[in-house]
Amino acid sequence: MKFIKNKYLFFELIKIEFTQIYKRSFIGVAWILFLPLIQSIIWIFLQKSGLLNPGQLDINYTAYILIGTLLWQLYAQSYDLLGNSISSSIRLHTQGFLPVLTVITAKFVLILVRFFISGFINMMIIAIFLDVSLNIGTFLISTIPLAMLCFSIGIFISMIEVVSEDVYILGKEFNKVLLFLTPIIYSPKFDSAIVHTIIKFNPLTYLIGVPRDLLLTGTSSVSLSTFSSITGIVIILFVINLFVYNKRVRILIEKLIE
Amino acid sequence: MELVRIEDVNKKFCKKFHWSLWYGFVDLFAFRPTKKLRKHEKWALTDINFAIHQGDFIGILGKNGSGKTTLVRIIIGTYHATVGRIISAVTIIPLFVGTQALNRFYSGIDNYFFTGAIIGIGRKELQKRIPVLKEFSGLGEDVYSPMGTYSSGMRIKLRFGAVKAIDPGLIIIDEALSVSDEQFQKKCFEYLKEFSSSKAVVFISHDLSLIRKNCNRIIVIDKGSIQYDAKDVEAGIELYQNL
Repeated sequence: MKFIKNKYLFFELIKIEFTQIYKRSFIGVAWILFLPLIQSIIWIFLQKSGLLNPGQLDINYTAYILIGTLLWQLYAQSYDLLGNSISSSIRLHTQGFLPVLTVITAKFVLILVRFFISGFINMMIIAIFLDVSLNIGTFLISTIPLAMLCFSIGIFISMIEVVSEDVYILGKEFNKVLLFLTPIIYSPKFDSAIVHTIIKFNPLTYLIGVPRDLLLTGTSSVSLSTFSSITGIVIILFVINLFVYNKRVRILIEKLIE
Repeated sequence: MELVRIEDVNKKFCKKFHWSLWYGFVDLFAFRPTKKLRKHEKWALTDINFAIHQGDFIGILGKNGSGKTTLVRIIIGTYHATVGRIISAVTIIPLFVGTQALNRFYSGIDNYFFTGAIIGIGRKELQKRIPVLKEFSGLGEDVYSPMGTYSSGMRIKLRFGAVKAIDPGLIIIDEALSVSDEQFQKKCFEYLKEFSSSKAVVFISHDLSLIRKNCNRIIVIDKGSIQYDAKDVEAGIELYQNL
């Protein structure tokens, strides 16, 4: 109900998010199209030049990496942009009573828009140049748990970041390592037992692996039952985080104004 | 008619920054954040009770650090009250010094649209009222220039023009008019007088002549509690001067 009431504010905030990022750029919002194209070209170049050795894979590696990085970026951007969303929008909060959930959701919409545009470009490249048939419907549905996790982590970190920036900075560094502990650039079939165990217990292995496999092959190489269990945990976390955010975020905003 | 009710409001603050952050962390995970004072915490406001009625032009007086701005921030919802609550039947627009710019890249008109959006007014309605904003602020086509190019006086003019165009139920002014020129100040007070006859204004200032000239009710705050709240403006000013 609050969202319907704040519909115009929500769209204004989305507009602010978009213009704020690209205001000083000559090509502006065109970066949303341009950046995934550049990224795709870079990955294709790295793979074709033999600079990357992915390990054992049953599917087209370029397609594997393009979709893997697409899903990873949804996570990484959510962490980076939502994680400091309270402190970065403190100027907005001093203007008066601002519905906090509307502010963070507007930021998440920006991330989702980038995700869909990047996804569209990547899928076009995969379908046209790599001749891989895509199951887009199942991909979109199976990406929902990852999107929910991204939003949950984003709002949780945004609250922690207000009282301890250290956690946010450490998390950013940890994510750089996590990229290599999630089957995104490399295949999950490692010889190292430790890495194999970490990958097995890393929820992103399933939340990224299942949608990617379903898109590219129609079946999943990772356990669907584990994916379902993780989805259940993600839903619970999502609800708890929303509740805590609504209840506590005003106390935290004060810390930045005091 | 009662527009806003401030009911048993108490507000605590922490004097030490890092302790404040730690308490924020503790409160985040607490089932119910404590209302008692912890180490380095103090009460910034205690037992604040009053109502703002239609026709009120309230002058709030108090020394620096007495709790005036904290009270205003609680009324507009930027701060939460540790104890007590605010019951508001109207939309409120605050005017503070120095916090008017949303972003220096945005134009004055963008800021106006955003202020209106916070209040809950749609774009079409806001567009209709742009002539009022331009006319009252006296900024004309400058409203389309980036806020980064505005002087502090121009920012106040824009904000005041926005207030006139949006027409809220309550205006709260915290020292904001002190940076504008005399002519614009006069224009604003004429508007505020007219506005307060059907709605209400809360005016925080150390300028006693402005308080004397415009207010019909005085609230004196000292050390976080209300010392005086009555219609006798002169008696309120006298008490404030003797604090």
